[in-house]
Amino acid sequence: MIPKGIEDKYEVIRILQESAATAVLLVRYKPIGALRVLKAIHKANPNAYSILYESNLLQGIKSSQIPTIFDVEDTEEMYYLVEEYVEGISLREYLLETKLSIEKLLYIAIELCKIIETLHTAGSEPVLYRDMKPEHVFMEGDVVKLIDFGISIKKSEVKEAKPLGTKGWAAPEQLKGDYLDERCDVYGVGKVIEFMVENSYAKDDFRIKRIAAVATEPDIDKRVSSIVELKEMLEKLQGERVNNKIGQKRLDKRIAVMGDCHAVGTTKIAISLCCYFNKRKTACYYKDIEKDTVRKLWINLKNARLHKGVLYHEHFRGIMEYGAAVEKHNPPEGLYVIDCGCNKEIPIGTDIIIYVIGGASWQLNMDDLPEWIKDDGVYVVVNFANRFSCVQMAKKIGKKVFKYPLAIDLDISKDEENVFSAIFKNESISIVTQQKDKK
Amino acid sequence: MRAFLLLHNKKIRNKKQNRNKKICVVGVSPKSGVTHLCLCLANFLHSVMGRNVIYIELRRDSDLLNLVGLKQVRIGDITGYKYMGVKYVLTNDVNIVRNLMANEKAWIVVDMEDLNEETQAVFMNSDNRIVIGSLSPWCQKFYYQFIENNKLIINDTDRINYLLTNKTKKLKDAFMHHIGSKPIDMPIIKDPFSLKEEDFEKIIEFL
Repeated sequence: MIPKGIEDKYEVIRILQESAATAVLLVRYKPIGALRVLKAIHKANPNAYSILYESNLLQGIKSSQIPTIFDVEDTEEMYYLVEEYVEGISLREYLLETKLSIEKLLYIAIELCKIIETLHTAGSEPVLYRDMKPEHVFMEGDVVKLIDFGISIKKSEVKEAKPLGTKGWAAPEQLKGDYLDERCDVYGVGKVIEFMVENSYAKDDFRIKRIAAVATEPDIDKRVSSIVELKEMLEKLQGERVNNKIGQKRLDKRIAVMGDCHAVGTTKIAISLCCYFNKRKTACYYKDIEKDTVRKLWINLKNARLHKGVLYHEHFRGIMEYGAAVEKHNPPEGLYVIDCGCNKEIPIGTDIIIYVIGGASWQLNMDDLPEWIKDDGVYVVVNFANRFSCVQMAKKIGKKVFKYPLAIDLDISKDEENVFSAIFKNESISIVTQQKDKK
Repeated sequence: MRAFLLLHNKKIRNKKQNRNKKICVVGVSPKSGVTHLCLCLANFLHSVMGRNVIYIELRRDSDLLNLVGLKQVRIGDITGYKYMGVKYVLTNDVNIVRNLMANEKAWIVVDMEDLNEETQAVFMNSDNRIVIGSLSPWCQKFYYQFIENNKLIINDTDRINYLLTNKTKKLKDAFMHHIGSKPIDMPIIKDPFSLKEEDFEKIIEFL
C-alpha cells in the first residue's frame, strides 16, 4: 500500500516493508535529493495514532544515534512520518560476517547503554524503549544506532501500555504486562550483550558473561538497577583491558576464591592469598560474602587490630562487615580477595577466579563443575589431593590444575607461596610486579 | 609488660566470646544515661558482634517508641519493633520481661527505669548488672539513697558494676569505701547509632 499524495515531495526508491494498512518506504526527498524513510499508516487502522505518538515521543531527544524525525503529515487516507535513513547493517547481519573482538563487543554494548541512557534521561520523563534486539541495532561503520521506536512509551504511561515486545528479547515483566520501569531496557541490552558474546572472542570471558547474566536476571529486583550502572560495569571492564594493553599496572583487581563444595579449604586459601600479596607489599584485603570470618578472626586472634573497618593481623587484612549502627568507612583501595564459600555466583567485577576442588574421593564431583571453569582467568586449585589425582583431574577438566599443600597456620607457608607464584606467573605483569615498579 | 598484654588480650577475647547474656542497667535518678548506655551495648552487640539482640525498655512511658517504632516484628508471643537490626520490646510488664529472659535465645539488654520490689527479679536474674549515677555534690545523695533503699538486693547480689558519670578522686574514694567495690567511669560515646571503633574497647568492658 503505497500512500498517495506524497509524489510532490518524495520519490519512492524501495519498499522496505508493506502490509494492507501500513508501509515503510525508502524515499528520496526531492528538494535536496536525500534518502529518507517514510512510514505510513492508514487512518482507519486502530493504531493510526501510533505514528503521531512516536514523533511526539522522540521530540526533544537529541542524539546522533537515534534517527531524526523530519516530518509528520497526513494525506486524505494516511498519516505518514518521515525520518532519517540509517545506512549500514543490523547487528544481526554484522555478526554473520564478523566475529567480534572483546574490545568491539564492549564498545557496542557501551554505546547501546549510552543511547538508552539518553532515552531514560531526556525530556520531562523517561522513555522506555522496550524493543531491544539485534535487528534494531544498526552499525553505520563504527557508529552504533538504534531504530524503530514503534512500541516505546513514556514511563508515566506504563499502566495503560499493552504487553508488547519480542519474545526472547523483551523482559519477562514486559511480556506479562506487569509494572515496567527502566530496568526492562537493561534486560534488553543484557540480551543483546548475551547475543554478541555467542558470536565473539568473549565466549571464554566469564566477566562479560556475568555482566550479561545480572542484566538479564528474570527477577527484576536482582537485576542491574539502571542502565548507568550497567554502563559503568562495562566501562570498568573496558578500562582494564585498555590499561592492560598499554602496560599500565592496576591494583584494584578482585580475585574470587570459590569452593566446589563445603570443607574444601576455600577460606584458608583465600586468607593465605591475602597474606601472600600483603607479604609482597601489595595492599590486599580479604572479604567474605557468605560467613562472618573476619568477625570470628577478630574475636579469636591475639593482637588483631581494627582500624577504619579493616582488621589487621600480621600479613592479613580483612574487611569487617559492620551493621548499620557503626560509623561507615570507605573501603580501602587495593586488591580484593573475595571468599565466596561454595556460592557459585561470580561476584560483580571479578577479574580472576580461583576455583577450589577437594581432592578427597567423597568430594569429587566432575559432572557438576561450572561451565566457565575452562575460561581464561579461572585457575583450578585442588586441595587435600595427591599428585596422581591432580593429574587425573587436569585431564578430565582439560586445563592445568594446581595442587595445594597441606597448611594449618593462619599465615602463609613457603609451599603455599609457591602455588600462588605459579598461578600468578602470567597475571604477575599486572599484579605482583606493581610494587617493584613503584620502588 | 608482655605478660600483662597477653592477659589483657585473653580478657578481651573471653568477653568477646560470651554468649547470650542478660544485661540490666538501672539509674539512681532520671537522666543518668541508662538508655544511652543500653543503646550502645545493644547496637554494639548486633552491629559489631553480629549477635541477635533484644532491647527491653522497662518503663511506664517509652522514650524510644518514636525512634524505633516504625517496623513491627513478632518476638515470641509479643509484638516488638526492629531498628538497625536490634529488636525492641517497650513494656512496663515485668512478667513479659521475665518470659523473654527465660525463653528467647538472644542477648538481652534491659533498660530499667527503677529498681523496686517488682523489678528486682529482673535485676537479680541478669548476668551483668549496672547501676549508673553521678557523684556530683548536688547529685550524690541519689546514689547513696539508691544503695540504702536497695541494701538487701545489693547485699544479695554479686557483680554489680557501679558507673559514675561525674566524679572527683576524693568523692570516688569515699564512694568506693562506702560500697566496698571499685566504681567504673562512664564511657563517653557520642552517638549510640553511629559507634566508632575507638568505642569498642569501652563497651566490651560491660559484656
